[in-house]
Amino acid sequence: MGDKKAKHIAIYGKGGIGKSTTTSNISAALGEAGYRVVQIGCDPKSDSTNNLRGGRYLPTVLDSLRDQGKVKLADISVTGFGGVLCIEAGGPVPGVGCAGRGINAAVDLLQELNLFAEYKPDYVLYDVLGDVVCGGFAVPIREGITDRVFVVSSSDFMAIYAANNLFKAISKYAPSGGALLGGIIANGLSAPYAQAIIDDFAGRTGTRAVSYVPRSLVVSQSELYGQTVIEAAPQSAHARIYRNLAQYIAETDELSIPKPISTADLRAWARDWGDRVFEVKSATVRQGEAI
Amino acid sequence: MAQAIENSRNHCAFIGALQTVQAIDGVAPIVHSTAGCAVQQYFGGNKVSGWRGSGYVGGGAAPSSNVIEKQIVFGGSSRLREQIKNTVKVVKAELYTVLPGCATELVGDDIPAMVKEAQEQGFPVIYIAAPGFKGDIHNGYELAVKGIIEQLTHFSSGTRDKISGLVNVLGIIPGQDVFWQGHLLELQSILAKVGLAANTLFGLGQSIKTWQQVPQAELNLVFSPWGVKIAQYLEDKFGTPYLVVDGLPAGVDDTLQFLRKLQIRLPFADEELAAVQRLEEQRWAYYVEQIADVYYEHNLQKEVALVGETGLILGLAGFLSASFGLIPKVLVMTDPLPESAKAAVTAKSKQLIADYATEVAFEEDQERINDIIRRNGVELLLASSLEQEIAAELNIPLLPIAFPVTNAVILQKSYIGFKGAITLLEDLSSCIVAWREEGKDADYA
Repeated sequence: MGDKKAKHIAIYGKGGIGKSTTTSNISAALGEAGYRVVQIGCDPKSDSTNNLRGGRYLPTVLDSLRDQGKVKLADISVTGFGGVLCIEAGGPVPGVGCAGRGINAAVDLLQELNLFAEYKPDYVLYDVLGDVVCGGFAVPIREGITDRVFVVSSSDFMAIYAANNLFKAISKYAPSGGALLGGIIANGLSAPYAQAIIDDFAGRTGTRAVSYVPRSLVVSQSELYGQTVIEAAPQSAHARIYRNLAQYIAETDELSIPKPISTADLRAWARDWGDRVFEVKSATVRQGEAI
Repeated sequence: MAQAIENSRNHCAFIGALQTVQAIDGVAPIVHSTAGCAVQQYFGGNKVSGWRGSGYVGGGAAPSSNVIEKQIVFGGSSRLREQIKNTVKVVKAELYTVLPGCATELVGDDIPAMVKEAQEQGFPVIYIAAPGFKGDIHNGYELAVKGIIEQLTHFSSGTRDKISGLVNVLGIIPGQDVFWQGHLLELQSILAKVGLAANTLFGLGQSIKTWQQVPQAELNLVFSPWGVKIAQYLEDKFGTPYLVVDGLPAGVDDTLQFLRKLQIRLPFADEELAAVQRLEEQRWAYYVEQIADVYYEHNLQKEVALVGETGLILGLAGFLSASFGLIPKVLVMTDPLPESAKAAVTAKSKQLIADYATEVAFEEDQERINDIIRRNGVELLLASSLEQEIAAELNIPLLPIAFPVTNAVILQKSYIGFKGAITLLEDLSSCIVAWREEGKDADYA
């Protein structure tokens, strides 16, 4: 890998849960703090770094593989907000080819280009496609690519289900030198019981939530401007949350192998939470009636 | 339960489909896979199957899309389109068969669309989905034969009326049976003796026209477990009945018995059969008299182990024990039969060689095959070139009868039927005599 000092961090989570937003804000916060940061989008949609580069055009790594020319790092990277080096792995158009192999090929090519030895980053963040559907998408957590994973999840069952699946992949690869789990980034929280659900799931899987990011208009607004919160609303409460998260990720070395829950047990756990949420709601109604 | 297999002799479905296609005159394969697949068939299939040649579009001449990582990541359909276009321009064939390998099938290339496109442009192109991971060489044969018959109907509006006396021969896999060509010619000649025409589908004298006649046969003859699925398909699709023959018939008795079974299903005159019997028994008696001297002088009556594909092993074991006095101590079937078929094959083996305690095994692994041979203390091996090592270890003669064969060139030789059985006597006796003449038999000076 060249530079052993760099921390290589993979961010996973269910599609649409806010991985790219979260990753870009972490990168922006780290960049703002003076670190050399690389963010690599590992998703065929190639939209991970949009908010860092203000929509500036960036050819993907796999575009260059397709065109078969002599590739230089400058051709497939652009410097975004906070000096973050933005790279998109890219992939085939939907419905053809093998995106999983694409991720693999892109990571290979970046290593051939000596990216890490030449750029000498402090942090490399990999923003990976939501579900680990096949071996290709597990490439970033296998030995020698990243050493730690954070998973973004809301309190919705399907997001937790995806996180649990990722835990299965981590616990499979960890014994052979794969990445370990840094923790859960709880995102888009709105309901009063959301944090409790995440904490309960984290407790049962032997991990923990490292940040709670509430749902907020400022995030959506920043995105509409094509910017991270750090850039668009640097004084906002959310900017502070992201900075704290970035600092935690930068400093912590608390990593663990998660203990995924079996699908049946996860179902039972969710039903139990369904009952508890129902009780909370019905209690509210009774209070209303009393007025 | 997973077990390691040393020296597998059953390859993959892709190889089976490719060598099946290559054995049909006028049919060209278009391999849609990485560059190694077609070459692997040549070096691991043809060349070690009695030095079978590469022919017009075999070996290094097999058209192939030779996909690389670019096509894996972004899809290889357009590479295939290009390959089809180029192939129909430079390779002369009556039918082109697209054969995808593992990588392109995994990635999900839209091969049917590319084939349909070529068909719409008027090219006779079909698609056989037999990527390596679909199974072994036998499955590849099944998929290829069924696929060609099924898709040929696109290009022939011909009649489906039955042709009197026409039979299809199924279950003999080109290349995997090293004597496939000889077997087919011998069966054709046997059937001709009772007035039947054999559609043998592969090799000499066969073409797309004979394939187009497959639905018109009155009966399908199946000579190994690997033809049954195809026969069932043909029964469902064209109403053609089939007859499964337990083992390739070798020698006068078994071949006549086969003809009697056939006569029940597809009547021909008793006089015809009687004439064949007279002639063949005469021939057999004549050669037996000729071979008697060497038989006793060189002690040809040996305890033998046969290792190879079920169809041939059953046929040869029955003949060698009943008609030539050999004692089959071991039968090893190396083709991976389904569990459900093993009991019937074991029962058939016991019935063929009822007088001896014979070990019947279903085994593909070299070391376990060697162990079986070793513990039975046999004096003669009828097996593949892979058994040369154990033959040398036990200091016993080996006659090659099964894939792979590297130390013999095989063109039209066969060990079955009337004439093939005589050839077997020649080769078997020569093998033992040569071994003794080389001074390898301690009892012979």
